Parts: sequence; C-alpha cells; structure tokens
Amino acid sequence: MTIYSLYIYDRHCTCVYYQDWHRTKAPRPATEGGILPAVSQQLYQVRGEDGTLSVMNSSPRNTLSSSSGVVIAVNDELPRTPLLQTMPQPPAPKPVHTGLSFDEEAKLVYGVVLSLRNMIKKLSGQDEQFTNYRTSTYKLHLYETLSGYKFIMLSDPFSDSLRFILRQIYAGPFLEYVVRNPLVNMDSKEYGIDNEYFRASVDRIVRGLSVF
Amino acid sequence: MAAPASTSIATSLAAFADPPVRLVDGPAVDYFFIELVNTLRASSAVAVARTRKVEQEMIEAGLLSPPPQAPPAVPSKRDSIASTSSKTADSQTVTDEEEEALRLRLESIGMHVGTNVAERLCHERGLFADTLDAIKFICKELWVACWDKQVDNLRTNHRGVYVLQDNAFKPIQRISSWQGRADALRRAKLYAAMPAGMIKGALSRLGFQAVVVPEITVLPQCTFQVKLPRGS
Repeated sequence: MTIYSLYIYDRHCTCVYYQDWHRTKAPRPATEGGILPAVSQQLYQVRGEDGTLSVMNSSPRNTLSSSSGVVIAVNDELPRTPLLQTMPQPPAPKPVHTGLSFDEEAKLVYGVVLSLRNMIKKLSGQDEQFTNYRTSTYKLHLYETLSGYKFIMLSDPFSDSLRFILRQIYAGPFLEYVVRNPLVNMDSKEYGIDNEYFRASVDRIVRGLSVF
Repeated sequence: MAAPASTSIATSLAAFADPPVRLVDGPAVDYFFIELVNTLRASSAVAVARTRKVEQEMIEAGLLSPPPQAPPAVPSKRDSIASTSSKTADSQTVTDEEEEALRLRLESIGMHVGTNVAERLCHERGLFADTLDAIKFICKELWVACWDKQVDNLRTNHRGVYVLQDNAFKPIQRISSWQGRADALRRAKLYAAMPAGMIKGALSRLGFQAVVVPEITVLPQCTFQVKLPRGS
C-alpha cells in the first residue's frame, strides 16, 4: 500500500504544486513555459545561458544536506524517485520517462477530475460529491476546498479513501506554510506554491502514514 | 439602598480603569501584515518614481545640475529618504531605492505601533532605574505582548550596545521560498524592519533614543542590535 503522488490545483485550473514518492516512470520535465515556476523544482526547466534547456536544480528532499546550489540534474539524469538520489554517482539504469511531458500530464489529470465531477453533479444533483476513482493500477482521491483548491492524490488501487489525509495536508502544512507565508503569492497566475517548508512538512506527513 | 448602587458603580468604574486584556488572533495579524507589506511596496514604488520624475524635470529645467556622483538635496515629504546611490537610472538602484523606501515606511509604522504598545504596557510600573532595566522590559514584556515569548539571549558590551537574540522569531518563522534558503533569507530581512521599528518606538517613548538594526543570519533566528547613546 503506497502513495504515488500529490497534485494541487488552484481555482484558475492550473497546477500549482506537485510532489511524488513512488512512480513507475519518472515524470518528464515540462516543456518550457508549460508549468509555472514554483511548482516543482525537478520539473521546471529554464533556458540556460548557452541556450540549452535544463532543470533548475535537483531539489534536495533531505533539507539537511541542501544549500550547495550545485546543478546536478540535467534531463537524462533525472532520478527516478527522490529516494534514489545519491549525489555524485548517477543511477546505473537510465530512468524511463512517461511519454508525456509534465504539463500535459497535469492538464490531463485535471481534465479527468473536472469532467467526472461535472458529470456526477449532472447525474445525481448538486449534493453529490466526487471523491475518488479506481483503475487497475491506481486510485485517485480528490479533496476540494470551498476556495477552489483541489488536492489530488494517487495511491495504489487497494487503499481506503485518503481524503482525510488530504484534509490534514490542507489544515496543516497548507495553512501554515502557504497561506501564512509572506513570500508565497497565492492566487497569482504566475507562480506556484512550492516552498521548502511546505514540501518538507507534506513529505513528513505522507511518509509517516501507515499506508505509505 | 445607597450602598448597592455605589458598589455597582465602583465595579463598572473598575472595569474602565483596568480593562480586561484582549488578544488578537495570530493568523489574522499575519494576513494583515502580508497585505501591508505588499501594499506599501506598491506605494513606495510610486513615490520613488514620482520623486525621480520631479528630479528629472528639475535637472532639465536647469535648476539642478545633473549630479555625477553626489545626490542633490531633493525636497520631499519624507525627510528621511535620501538617494544614496548615483543617478544612473539603473534598474538595480531603482529597486534598491524602492526597497529602502519600503523599509523606512515599515520602520516608521513600527515606531508608532511600538510607542503606543509601550505606553499601554507601562501604565502600572514605576520609572526605569537605568537603560539595562528598560532593555529588560523590552525583552520580557514587549516581546511577550507582541510575539508570545521572551527574548532568548541578551548580550551587552556595557557601553550602550545591546544585542537581543530570538531563536524563533515569530514574524519570520514561516518564511520559506521555492528558490532555496538564501533567497528566503534575503527576502526575510524586510519583514524584520517593522519589529525593529517597534523596539525603537517603545524605547523612544520611554525616553531613550536608540538605533535598532535587525540582522538575520539563519532563519528563523533574528538578532536586534540596539545602540543607545552613552551616558543616558
């Protein structure tokens, strides 16, 4: 029983945050301009001075060993999961990417959720809530706030509803380190909500779960 | 007959004389300060642009010689703002000017707030014996009233310089940036300007003219260097 990944969308229908723990295929970095800055360090590409696209820096999940500022990851050395991130030696097998770049993937996920939600509301009335759906390989859980933020979590297909975890993430790290953080510009159309403390606290919550 | 009436009057007068302490919701204050800084940033950008335009017009009209390095004395309502950099309309100097203007506005707002908070906190105590006493008052009562804890470390060189250190300073506790710690540190300096102003204002209401400089080396630790004039 594991957690695969977490997406957060704001009310403007854009992805503002992404974090993953276990994925069979690594997410391909987004095309330039596809996603906002401050969504996920490992997926945001900038054009360097020599014109090559590269990921900004490898986001150190372990914040204790951070702050070296060394650009390590370039496209084909993108680590498969944060757990395999050994600094000097790249992992021996080249990680397999999904066919889609991340911005397309994010849009598809959002599209699925939105369409299902609208369909269910039309079928059964305004009181019905779309909570999760399951396929043979994963289960997608949705928690939507009144302010329009959608927390989407993908987990293995046999887990129970994880809405309460998403609610915990909203009531804890989100309110503390995103809403109360002076540096995070919420509801802007130009930046996501990624920051160090938020990422670390979400990580801590998810890794501390019994279903992880 | 007269006795019960007078006791009820006495209790209501007592409530006026010593009102119950009311607290403000922490998150509400945080949200307000976030908006305050953003609004002041926009307003100081407008003010800086306006003074630059006036200076440019005066230079063109020949009233001011275009200064190569030395800044002209530009009349402005805020007498504390002076452009200390050269007049090349560099984007870097413009943003520095704006940052400085913003910092000054935050500090002066802090001063007004600090004076009133100190006034309220001191209404029961006697005079301060010496400056050390006043600093200790700041460390304990002002800090508790504003930020729910006391200062963690107080150092002095016994010549009028005091260093107040707070290991988890509340206004900067949640500051975190997606670009890493260095960026968060750089931007956090601004959010310590208003607390520095509060300390300065509180001391000035108590009769001590101080210079307060905040410094952040490691988030969320913050130190304030307070320089009091000698002999006071």
